[in-house]
Amino acid sequence: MNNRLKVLRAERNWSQGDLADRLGVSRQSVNAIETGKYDPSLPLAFRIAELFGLAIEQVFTSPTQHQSRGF
Amino acid sequence: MASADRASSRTGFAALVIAEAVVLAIGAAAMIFYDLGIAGAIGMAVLVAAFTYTLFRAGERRAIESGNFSPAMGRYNRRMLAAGAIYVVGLFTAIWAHDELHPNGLAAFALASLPSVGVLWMVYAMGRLLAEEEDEYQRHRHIRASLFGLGTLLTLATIWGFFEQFDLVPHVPTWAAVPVFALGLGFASCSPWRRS
Repeated sequence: MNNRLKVLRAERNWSQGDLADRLGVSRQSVNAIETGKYDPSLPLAFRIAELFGLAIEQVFTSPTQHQSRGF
Repeated sequence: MASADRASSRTGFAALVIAEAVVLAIGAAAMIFYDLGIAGAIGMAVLVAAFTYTLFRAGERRAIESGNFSPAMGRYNRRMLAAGAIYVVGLFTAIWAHDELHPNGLAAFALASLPSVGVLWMVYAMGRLLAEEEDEYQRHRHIRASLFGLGTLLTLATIWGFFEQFDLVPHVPTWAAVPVFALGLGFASCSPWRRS
């Protein structure tokens, strides 16, 4: 599942550690989610979206949409 | 933490692991080739305990510095250290009492169970880590590593069991199950998962 975490983080000038502290998770978790190695649970995905003040689909891209758009 | 600091921390940790492995190898060789007696065995046990403690502390410091430390992992480390100490004491006591006191019946069973206490505490610590870890990615990694360890154990036990059945390899005691599982778990923990 693709996401805009890196961009959103960069816009706020946050490091991975800053984001991890705000979410209450490890820096490794943020890195794994950001690089697409790990898909977060729904509760954590909602927490991420709420932290950025966005809807969940504005942070995470549906894998089916991603394919149909021919990325 | 800056990437240069992280690299330096990694190098320091690797140097510590290598240095301690070299000292332990020399100690083990001295025990094999020279009769160091009970004093040598105790000295070696103290050395292993001291090195294990410093490795745990260094690993914990590294995790804190890189923002990857979790309280559940800290508790796991402390439980494993305690379990390791209990195992060593239990094993030495059981061997000494078996050789010197020659117990029979229930006492013999109780004595033979002593080394298991530390190992079972380690199994308990692994279970508690899965239950207490609040970071879902870390928990996911622990579960994957545990499954890999279990798969390693089942695979090796099955293959070795049939080899043994056909008299191709020597007998391996069943207490080897936990160390084999731990080896698989350790290997999986060190391997970065490409995708969840």
